[in-house]
Amino acid sequence: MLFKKKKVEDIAPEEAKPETLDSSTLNSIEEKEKSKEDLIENYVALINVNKFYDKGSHAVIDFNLEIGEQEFVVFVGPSGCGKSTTLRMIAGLEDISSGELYIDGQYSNDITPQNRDIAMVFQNYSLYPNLTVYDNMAFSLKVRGMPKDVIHARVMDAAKKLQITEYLDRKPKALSGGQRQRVALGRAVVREAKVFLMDEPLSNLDAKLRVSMRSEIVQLHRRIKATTIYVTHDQIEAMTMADRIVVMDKGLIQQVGSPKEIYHHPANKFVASFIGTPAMNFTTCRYEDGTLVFNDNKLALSKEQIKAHDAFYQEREKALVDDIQTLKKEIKEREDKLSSNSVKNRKEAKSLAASLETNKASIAKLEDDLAETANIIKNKSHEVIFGIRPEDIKANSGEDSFDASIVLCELLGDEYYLHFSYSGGDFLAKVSSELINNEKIKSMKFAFESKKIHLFDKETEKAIL
Amino acid sequence: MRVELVKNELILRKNKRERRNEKVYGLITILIPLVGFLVFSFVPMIISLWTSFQQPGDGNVRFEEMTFVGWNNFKFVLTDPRFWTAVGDTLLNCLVTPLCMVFGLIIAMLVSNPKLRGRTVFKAVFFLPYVCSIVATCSIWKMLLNPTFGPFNKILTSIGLGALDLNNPSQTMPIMIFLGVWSGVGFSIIMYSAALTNIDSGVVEASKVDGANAWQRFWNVTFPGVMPVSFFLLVTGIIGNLQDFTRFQILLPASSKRGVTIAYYLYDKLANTSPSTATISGAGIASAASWCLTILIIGISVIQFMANKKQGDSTK
Amino acid sequence: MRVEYVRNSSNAKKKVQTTKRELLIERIGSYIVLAILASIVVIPFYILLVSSFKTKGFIGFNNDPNPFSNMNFEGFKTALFGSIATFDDGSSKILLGLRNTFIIVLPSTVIGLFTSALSAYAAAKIRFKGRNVIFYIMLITTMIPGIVMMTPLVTIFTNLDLYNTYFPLMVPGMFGTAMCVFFLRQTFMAIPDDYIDAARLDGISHFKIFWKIVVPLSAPSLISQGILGFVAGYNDYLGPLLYLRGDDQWTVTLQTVLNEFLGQSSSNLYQALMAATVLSLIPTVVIFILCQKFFVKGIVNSGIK
Repeated sequence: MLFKKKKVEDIAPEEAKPETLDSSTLNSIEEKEKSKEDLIENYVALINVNKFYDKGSHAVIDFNLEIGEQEFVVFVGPSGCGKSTTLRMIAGLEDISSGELYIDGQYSNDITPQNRDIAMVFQNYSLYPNLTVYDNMAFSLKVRGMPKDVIHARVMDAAKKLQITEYLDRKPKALSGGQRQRVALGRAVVREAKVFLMDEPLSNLDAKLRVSMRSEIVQLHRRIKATTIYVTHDQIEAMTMADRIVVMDKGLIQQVGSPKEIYHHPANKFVASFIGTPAMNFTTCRYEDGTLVFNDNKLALSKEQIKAHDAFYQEREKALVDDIQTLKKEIKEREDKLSSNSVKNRKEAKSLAASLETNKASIAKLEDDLAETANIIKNKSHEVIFGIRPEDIKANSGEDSFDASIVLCELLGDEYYLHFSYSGGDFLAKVSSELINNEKIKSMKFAFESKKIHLFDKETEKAIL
Repeated sequence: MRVELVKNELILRKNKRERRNEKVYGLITILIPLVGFLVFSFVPMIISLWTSFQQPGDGNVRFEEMTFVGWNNFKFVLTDPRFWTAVGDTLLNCLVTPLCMVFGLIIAMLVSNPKLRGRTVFKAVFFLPYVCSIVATCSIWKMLLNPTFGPFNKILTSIGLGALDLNNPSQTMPIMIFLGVWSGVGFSIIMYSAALTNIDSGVVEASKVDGANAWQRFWNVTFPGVMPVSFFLLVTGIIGNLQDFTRFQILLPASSKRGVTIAYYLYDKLANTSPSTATISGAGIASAASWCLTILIIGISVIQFMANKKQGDSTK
Repeated sequence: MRVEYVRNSSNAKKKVQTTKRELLIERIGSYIVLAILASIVVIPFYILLVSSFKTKGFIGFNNDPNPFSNMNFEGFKTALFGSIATFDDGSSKILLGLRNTFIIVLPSTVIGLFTSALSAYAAAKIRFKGRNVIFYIMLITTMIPGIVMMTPLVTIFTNLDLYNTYFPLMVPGMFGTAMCVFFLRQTFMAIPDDYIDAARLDGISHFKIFWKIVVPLSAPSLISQGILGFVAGYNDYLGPLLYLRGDDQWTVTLQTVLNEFLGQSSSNLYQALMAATVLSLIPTVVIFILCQKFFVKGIVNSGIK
């Protein structure tokens, strides 16, 4: 298998340390302050939520999200990206290091999980081992002191919805994985809570069961109409189940949007490579005045694409200039403060000096970026990362097609995966089996669907196209 | 061809021999403790059964001097009021185990809180009495509880309460039970601490989300979760309590009105330590008393096991 | 529908306050309870220690709460070399008792551990008919109450003229104990069979495998069993009480000597008694502090039946 999946570590993450004012953080802070009122109106709102651990690790960085009522939101990302941590902060099982959490308009940071009116389904189901299925589902209602008949009605109703009525008097250890999963769902449904949280509920099931449970969960959501937050590392689950997807990596939100948006317009290389199977193909090439130059091939971009490219860098230039100005102002303020002897004590002076140092370093970096961007705009020539999905590579087309020698040909049923080398990268194309007679095929003509080309800036890996 | 066939035969025979040697080695080494048990436990048990029907001569335990007396020993023991006091006190002594378990669980839960500072220090402190020899424990408390100049009594008398006195029959057992708990609670703490870490934290979190407060969490998650350990502690603890002997023998004279457990009674008869109160004594009586005790232990253990099974069935 | 910004409403404040207060109360409460219980355990030891350095004891004796006044070593001197603490030839009973205890306990613990380990290895790794049956019989033997053995063992040993010798105290232990076998078998079963099979294929005998591979791999478990066994033997009072007369240099153990001191209840000798107790506790406490982990491990695993 020559096709290498891009590892998460290869992609440099966006750094958003509190002291460094880089353009994206500055913008986002402004935006957030403006719309704080709007945010809190939404059903679940997280504002600048951070999670620090004692050892110094920054697990969740500046998480901002608003979730509407009855929305099905999926947090997706690789292991360790902070999605489960965020979910647990919403549940109250982890403390929020900084930031604000609002549930149904109420500030909830310090409210214990018991009082938050949320229901949760755990990855390992976490059913009460010594209680029957009925008692497991009735437990949460019993501890809140509901009358017996109400409990009975709700439990039977949920059991019917989840088709577990025949197991009501069994204990968890007598159930299979899929059955336990349903009981865990039932236990959550019975609560009629404001928010439903699910932490990778399907990861412990086998593939077939996962597919059937996926649709059951979506149908369940439509019936009970509860706000749902679902965490998974499986992007297929995210794409098929979500109203909106939140893609996370290394503690940061990479992109928020509907499945369609994220698939067709990934905001950066990470999102592009994480969503979609098989993953997007990448390679570096040169952008020369509207044409992409590969090792053996050239590809001309359309007028709209060139416009978008130029607009991207102009905007970037503008943002950098703004940032530099704001930073300069802040530096001047701080220098003034230091020199005017209005500093209270040595500690404050020290911290001011330290902040000044970081500011100056940031300015230096920003000015470098500005110079580069200006260069790009002037010369219209720089390296870019080129991306195209396997399904957007057409075989045997006319103009703009190129010859490629096939390294490996894999049959998947009614389509083939063709592996070939292209301009220094390992590419994979999805081709319908009608176009291929012989599996030992040596070469093939391919063309890229021009509207589906993705370009990413080499430094920031943000999407240009 | 023939040479090869012969070679194979030799190899086969060698393999068979090796495998047999292996099995013999395994059998021998595994049996050593069992042999020890046979010689030092099983045989003595049989002999004890025999002795319980014998009346020893002047040499007390010499086999040659023993005479058969039928059920006399048992009759004596079962009609001896001191024996029945001993039974009562021994059963009272069984309170030590439940007390150890309750305090042990409470302390284990308190100490298991990860935000508590100095956890290992606390654990070590509570376990300290367990590593002390019983003699040392008795010596410490004998001093502390001395009626005339023991510190506790000085404080108590200054408040106005009477002094604690082991020789006061109504105070003997409570004090001894307290000593038992003081030395034994460390064991329960360690066992419960380990059991608590084995409780699935996910279930605890689920109960939090479900809305259970601390008390409800305890009854529905923690308590059922440590049930196996609780059962183990209860069974082994009570079996041990029924045989408790040392601290009684050290702190109380054999003629003491209360606090003579069955084991102490037994020892007294065997060693003739109190000729004035022992009208009949000797190895025969002692053996008979041992068997009475054994039957009591077996009876109580069986009851416990049946109760446990019943509970297991009813929750199904 | 505009939901109000509820952050500062009284409702939210109330909820925040109760949870923060609840947590605080919980924390302080646990500290208090633990402190009280811990002091019930610690204070006796504290009094013991201080009393051993004072002629007239501590608190109760002369009402002087200052632990550092009037400190002296008289108690220790008496306990070790005083007239009541020595035999006729002036040799210290405590030291002799200590020596004898070590002589009795160390060999039987070590050999017993060895035998138990051999048995556990066979039970865990060597396949032969009836292995599991034998093992379960051994388990059942642990359920026999020990008290029933007291009389017959004394009887038997006296009849064999082994009364007042070390034999009854040392030899039974050397055969290994079923509890120890059980525990070590657990540990050995955790070692992958592949190691053993590979070595067997190389033609190495089971004993060599046991000695060179299994023992080093399971050292912590062996050590914790050894420590527990040693402490049990060191603290043993019943054994010496039954089998040793305690009237000469060789028939005393540390615990019986301590018991002797206990029997003298003259108030003047209290300091000596305290000092003797402190001395007797030093080895076990030191071992405990150094090897806490091993203790805990051994005890926890004894519960897994």
